[in-house]
Order: sequence, then structure tokens, then C-alpha cells
Amino acid sequence: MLVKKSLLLALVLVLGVGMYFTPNVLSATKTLTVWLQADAVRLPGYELVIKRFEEAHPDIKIELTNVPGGWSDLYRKLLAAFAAGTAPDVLYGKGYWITEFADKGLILDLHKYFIRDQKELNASSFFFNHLMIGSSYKGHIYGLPRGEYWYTPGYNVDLFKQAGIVRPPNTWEEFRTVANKLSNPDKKQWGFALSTYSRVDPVCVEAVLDTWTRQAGGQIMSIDKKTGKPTYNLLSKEAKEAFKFVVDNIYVYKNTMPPELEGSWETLIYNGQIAMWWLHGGHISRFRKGAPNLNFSSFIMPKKVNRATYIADNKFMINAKTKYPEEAWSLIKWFTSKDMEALVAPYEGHLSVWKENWKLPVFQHPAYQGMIRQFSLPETIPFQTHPGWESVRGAIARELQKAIFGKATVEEALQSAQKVAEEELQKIYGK
Amino acid sequence: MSNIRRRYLRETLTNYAFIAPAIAGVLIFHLIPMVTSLFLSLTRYDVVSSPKFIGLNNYKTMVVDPLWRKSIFNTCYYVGVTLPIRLIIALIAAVLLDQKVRGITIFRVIFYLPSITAGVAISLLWKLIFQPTYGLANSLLAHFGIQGPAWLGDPKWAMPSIIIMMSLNIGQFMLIFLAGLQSVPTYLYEAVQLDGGNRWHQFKYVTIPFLTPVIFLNIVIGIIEMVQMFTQAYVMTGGGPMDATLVYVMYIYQRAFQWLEMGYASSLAWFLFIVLLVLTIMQFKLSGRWVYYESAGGRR
Amino acid sequence: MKIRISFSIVLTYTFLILGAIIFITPFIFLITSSFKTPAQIMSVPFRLWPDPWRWQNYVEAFRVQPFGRYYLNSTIITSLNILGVLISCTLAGWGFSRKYFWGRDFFFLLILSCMMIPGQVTMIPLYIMYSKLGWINTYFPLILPSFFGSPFYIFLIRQFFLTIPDELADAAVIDGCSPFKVFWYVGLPLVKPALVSVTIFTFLAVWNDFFSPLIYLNSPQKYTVMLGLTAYQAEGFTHWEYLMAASAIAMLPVFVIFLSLQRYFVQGMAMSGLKG
Repeated sequence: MLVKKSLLLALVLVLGVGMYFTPNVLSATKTLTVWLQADAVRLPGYELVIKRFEEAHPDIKIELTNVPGGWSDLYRKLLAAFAAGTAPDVLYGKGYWITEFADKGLILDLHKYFIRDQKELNASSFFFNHLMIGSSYKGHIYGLPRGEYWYTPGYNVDLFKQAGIVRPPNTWEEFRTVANKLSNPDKKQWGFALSTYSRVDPVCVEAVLDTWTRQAGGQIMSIDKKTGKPTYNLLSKEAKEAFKFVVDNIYVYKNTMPPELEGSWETLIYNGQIAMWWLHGGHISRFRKGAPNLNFSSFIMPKKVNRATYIADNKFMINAKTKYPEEAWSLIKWFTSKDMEALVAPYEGHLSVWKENWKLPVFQHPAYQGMIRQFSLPETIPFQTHPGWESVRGAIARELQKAIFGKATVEEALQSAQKVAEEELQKIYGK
Repeated sequence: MSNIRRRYLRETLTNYAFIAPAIAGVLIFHLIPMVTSLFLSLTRYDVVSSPKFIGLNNYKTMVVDPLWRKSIFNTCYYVGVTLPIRLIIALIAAVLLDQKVRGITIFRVIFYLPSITAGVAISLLWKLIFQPTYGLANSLLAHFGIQGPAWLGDPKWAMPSIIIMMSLNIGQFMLIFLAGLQSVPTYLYEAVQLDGGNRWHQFKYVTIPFLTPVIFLNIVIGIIEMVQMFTQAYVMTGGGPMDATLVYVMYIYQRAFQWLEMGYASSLAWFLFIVLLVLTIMQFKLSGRWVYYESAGGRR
Repeated sequence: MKIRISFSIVLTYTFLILGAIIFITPFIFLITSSFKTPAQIMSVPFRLWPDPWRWQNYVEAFRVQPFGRYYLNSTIITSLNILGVLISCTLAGWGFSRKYFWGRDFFFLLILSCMMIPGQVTMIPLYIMYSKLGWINTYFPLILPSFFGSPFYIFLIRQFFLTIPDELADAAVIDGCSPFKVFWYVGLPLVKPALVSVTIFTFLAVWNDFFSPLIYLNSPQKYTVMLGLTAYQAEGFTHWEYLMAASAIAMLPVFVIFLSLQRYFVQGMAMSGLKG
């Protein structure tokens, strides 16, 4: 009996091993592997685009891998896959990964393809060109952009009406006043909330310091045009003023949701306990499904010295070691084309990079209007990164959180953030 | 060669055939990696490029690394608070289960439930329980008019949340205590009764001394297991708000697999190894003082 | 005298029931949440019972993630691990329980001392080795080691083999059995309880394992159940209703195996704990 059982198990073993090692029998077709990250709402949109591509190109087969988890999981897995030589042909990821991957020589230089096929691409749009700055490293292009994802202030229209507030705030002072008016911490009502407090990644730094500093007329990072080497200055007058503005809103004026409740952010918005927040396209489509009764819209950044904000997006990149660069290039051109972005828009929600698509029905929701106005402003700044950007920003985020969680003053946090930023830079660039 | 020698040789070879896979396993999966990681800890290595020898730099960095200290503190906090709680609850449960009452099996299963399902599923369940707005914990507290904290979102409460969840994970300890309880000779209980003692005296003067070996065993097992906690922290908080739940193994994972700093991560791992080794040796040495072994007539 | 006994029994039952309530509450919460709609899960004030009972959550949980696939994967990995452990550890346990031969105690102690090495020390070189072999995102790292013995199970099984009198083995040899046949026909049948215990322990350890699948598996099609559970959390948003349903299903095999085989489980734990 035991012998029979062990034979059976051995058979299972052989079958199992066989299953996972079956070679691609269809050697006539070329197979492209694609990795991206999408939740259940977005995935059908991407799958549709791929299906259309396969119909238009019968000799190419696409193997899509939807890597679950978050973007940082995908990043880690890509790095590990590159190291093990099992990275996909095409990858879709955050724009700021381009500096890391290009620096390490992991992704393909797309310059010649870009020059050759310029007319097909969105090259004449100002919007697109901003994003292309983020797609390049040392003057060469490494990715194609799609799906703008940066934040715009959003607000609960009903709460504003109930409080008799006629229009969204226009300046920092008005912003604070409105937030104060709509707050009642004892009743768990807050005028404002961010959703990025405890993320030890660049988004936290952008959301609580960088953007506000820009609006105050300064900047925390500058990149030397010739050497590409960054300098960080978190101790400037503008940075202090900006960070103090954000932190005081939490602890002095108590008009901002405390960072401990970050996990409940969406629920609180759905329940009407938060009047203003930062949203992006993905939130818009999710909110529309998750809280159909929520009456929300967006407005442009309140002004201090200006209304600066960034524009950032996700990018398609190609593995430097791919066997089919031409096919991969045609796939990513396909994905980032006007019609395909229009196809995905209802599923994904991110504002299309093509201006022509802004007329689509899905983008007529009021929340997109503020976004469109914001990104048409000349103050919108392209996203710029440098090698090691993520680790530097992560280290800064850790220090800033001390003030965000009320464990340190704004000065102390900025001082220690400056220190760790310089330490990280030293690790990456040497003396 | 004589017949006996030949037979002995054959027997030895046969036995080695039996133990060969195990020895190979020990070499390939334990000893060689262990030595390799010692060498790795003297390099900077990101798997993509080749390793660069940097001597003891990793260890020098480690000593002044504030996150390293924080992870040690977090781990000690976690083990130091949770282990006694778990042991006490396990002991109470074992004593209860040792009473000869009906339906013991059902209760034993219920008490064991959190332990066999330990890991991802339970951590996610408790993540929902600790949800500040609509989770079970705060809803229960609200019933009594208490405003619950933000649990996993609050740096002060993140680790206590994990501790609360793990306090119910007592199955393994409970079983070992039970086995220990059942090995106490009953005539000693009668002796205490004859001397006029009550159940509390029985417990204090007979049960506890006889339980010292299993208490010791549970402490050793417990420390080794809990120092290596990872899944709960990863799944529930990812290291915690403001690194409040960044336990040691979580930190090793971050440095190894998020930042691809294999050299530094190896030095972190070796530090852990040495600490565990020292702890275990210390415990065995100290056990002579307070652990009672009946077979040796009271003193080992 | 009679009154005292009754009081202590009442006291015992009170504490037992109190304890049972505390221990079982999280699981009741799990089950009831798995049948609620998202709105009900997030409702304030809290309502325990779902209304209505949404069976669809269980169906949809399988659609939103390829959970059936995860289940299959976990089953394959767990079964192969059990096979590997049973083969390698019984062989080794038998070998180490034989009459003294040169090197026996040295190697046994060597194997035991490997229990002291925390997994984190070996995991990085092993990961690098697998990476160079191209075995990342395959099942080899998750299955192969089990075919090469595991110190704790070798120790446990050896304990049981030691209780077999030498005369039985000697008698079989005199009857003309090869050493392997002695092992197979004399040794193994007498340690069945140990084998069951080891099977249960291995099953629990591998089914619940999270760390190894986390670092070795990249494609979702290869994910195990435990890894797949974390996939129900998206960036900043969690499908609690699917997560609770999937968790309940994930816990089910563990629960069933434990319930039906707890006798062996308890016995195994006791043997290992006390003799060690």
C-alpha cells in the first residue's frame, strides 16, 4: 500500500514539475512578457488593450503578469528579477524608477525609436513634454508616459454648501480658514486630510513638504544640469514655512485628520467626515464606485506665492536585454496611444496624457475639472529625480514623520532630515 | 580484514547511506550558507553587480545605525512583554484543562485555535479587528463609552496591538505545560493535603517546582521563536507607523530585499545569531539554579 | 467535602467558558464579517450579524483573485514537502538510532546544532544561490530542502525509533532482511504515531508559511494561499469582505486536519518537548 502511495506521489511530483517547465510550444509566435500592477477595477481595462493589440498583431503574444501588492512590492520584485535575469520584456511602473533602472543599465534606451516615430506620439503637447522630462535620464529617453497620477485638492461639495462656503479656498490663508470652519475634532470632523503620512517613501515628502515649499516660492532639491548631482536644502525659509503650515494645521489649528487615522482615510471621506483632501484620478474612479452618493469635486492648489504642483505619471519601460525590442516598442506605443488611453480611462481613472481625450464622458465628472485646470497652469512643474532618489526621500520621510506625529518640532525634524539626506547622498555619490 | 571488522565496516557504510541525505542537507542548507553569510557580511553586494570587499564596515555602520537600535528595542519590547503574558495564560489554560471535567477536548481545541491558524490569516483578521473606525475593538470599547485609540496607526499603540493579538497564541506552550502537569506525582499532592495545605499550597509547593523544567523549556522555545517574528509585522503594519513595529527580522528583510543590501543584511543576521546563541547558553547555565529535575534528586 | 468539589468544578467551568468566549470571539467576527457587504463591515455603530447573509462574497473572492489556483499551489507544495520530510527524516532517524558506528554521535550533534541557526542567517546566501541557478520564481527553493532532512523531525523520529528493542531488528537480519527491509518492515510500522505527528507539523508549517513564498515567488499564478491573502489589500484600500471569506477558506484545512488528528499532534508535542 505504501509502495503504491509513494508511486502515486512520485507521479504527482513528475507531473507538477512538468507543468511548470513546459516550453513554449508555439515557437512561431513571439511572446512578450509584461508586468504591471493593477487592482480588480483597473485590470479589465488593461486586458482589453492587450486583447486589441494581439488582434492587430497576430504574430505577437502577450503574457501579462499582474503583480499584486503595492508599487513598492513591484519595484522590489523587478529589481530581484533583473538580478536573476528573469525580468519581463515590458514593465509598467512609477516614473521615478527610470533614474534607478537606467543608471544600472537595466532598461532600454528608447532614443532612436522616439526620434523615428515622433509623429505618432503626443510630442507636440506641453503636457506630454513635461512628462517626457521625467522619462529621460542623462538626456536620453527611457520610457513612455501614460496616466497622469499626481494630486489635486478635492472637496466634499455638500459639506461646503452646508457650511455656507461659496467657493473653494484660493490662498493658504483662506485654506486654513475654511478648514477651521469645517472642523470639529470632538465630533471626528476635519477640514483636511492627507493619506500619505506614514509612507516611508517619496510620496510622503512630496505631500507634506515638497509641493508646499514650491508654493511658498522655494524648493528643497536642485539638480546640477551638468553633473546631474542633486543638492538638498531643507532648512530654507520657504521649507520651514511650508512644513510649519502643514504641521500646525494638525496640532495647533486641529483642522487636519491626525496621522494615526491614516488607515481609515477613505472611510472617513465616504462618511462625510473630511471636507478637503488630495485626490488623484485613481481615487476618482474608486470613489465613484465605492461612494456613489458622495458629491465631490476638485479645485486648484491654493496660492502662497504661486500654485505650483508637480505632474507625474506612470511609464512603460523596456528591458534592456529583451529579445524583441521592436515588438516591445510597438506594444508600448500602442498602450500609450490616444485611443487606447481612451479605452482604459473608465477603468483606471487617471487623467489621460492626451488633451484630446479630456473631452471623453468619463472625464466630465466635476472632480476632473479642477485637475485639468491645475495641469494647464504654467506653474506645473515636471518631476525630476536622480539616482538614489527613493532612498534619499525615504530617509527624509522618516525624519519628517517625527514632526507629523507630533514627536518633534518642525525645526528639529527638518534639521535631522537635512542630515540624513546628506548622509544618503554621500553613500550614493561619495564625497 | 577480519570478519567482524568487515561486518562493522559494512554496517557503518549502510548507516551512512541512511543518514547521507540529512548530512548533505545540513551542509548545503545550513553550514555552507552560514559560512557564506559570514563572508557576505564583509562585503557590499546588491546581487546585480559583483560583491565588493569592505572589511568590517558593515558592522561599524550597524553599531551607529539608529534603525538597528530601534529594531532591537522593538524586538525586546515585543518579546519581553508578550512572552510572560503568553506563558501565564498558557499555564492557566493548562491547569484548567488538567481538571477532570467533561468536554475538555472542545475547550482544548478552542484554546489551540489561534495557534494553528497563526500567520497571515490571523494577522489580517486582527487588522480588521483593530480598524480604528469600524473594527471590533473600538466598537466594543465604544459600547462602554471609551474612545479607542488608532491601534495600528498610532505609533504608541501599534506594538501593543500586535502583543494583544499574540497573547492568545498559547497552544504550543499550553500543551507542553499540560504534559508537564500530568507528570507530577500525585502522592505529593496528597502529602500536602495531609499536612493541612489547601489547593493553593499544593500549587505553590508541588506543581510549580515540578513545572520548572517545562517553564524553562517554554521560555527558551518562546524567546527563540519570538525574536524571529516577521509575518505579523509585515502583514499588519509593514514596520509600523514611525518604525514602531520594525522588529529585527523585519529590518533584515528591508535591507536585504527592499534595498538589496545583502552584505549589510548578512551582518545584521549574524548579530542575531550570536545573540541567540549567547542567550541560549546563558539560559542553560542559569537553569541549574532554579530548575528542579526530579531524576537528579532535585539538583542537576 | 462534597460541596468543596462542586465549587471547584463550577469555578473551573466558569473560567473555561470565559476563556473560550475570549478565544473564539475573533473567529466569530471573522465568519460574520465574511458574509457582510462592504457597507456593513464599515458601518458605525457596529452590528454583529450580517443582514442579509451574502454568500456571494465567497464566490467573488475566488473571481477577484485566482484563489483556486493558490489553493492548488499550496496543496502541491505542502504535499511534496510532507513527502520529502517523511522520506529523508525517517531514513536519517533510523540511521542515527542504530548501534554505535564511527561518527554517529558527531553528525547527530551537528545536525541538532543546526536547529540553533536562525533562518535569517542562511536565507540570504540561499537566495543568492537560487538566484544564480535561475530558480527564483520556481517551486524548487520551497520544496527541495525538505528532501534533505530537517533537524527537529529527525530528532523526533529518532526518539521513537530508539524505543524499538534491538532484538527485533536483529531477528529480521537473521531472517535475511537487507538493512533497508529492516527499516521498512520492522522500523517504520512501529513509529506510525511519530509519522503522523511529523506529517501534521509539516503540514501546518508549510501551509502557513509566508516568508519563503514571499521572497521566492513573483508571478501571481504561482502564489500560495497565504501569499494570495495579502493580495486582497490594494494601495490604501482593502476588500475586507473578500479577505475574510478567503481567510476563512485558508484556515479551513488547518482546522480540519487539527480536529481529526489532534491526538497525534498532542502526543508529538509532548514527546518532543519533554525528552528534549
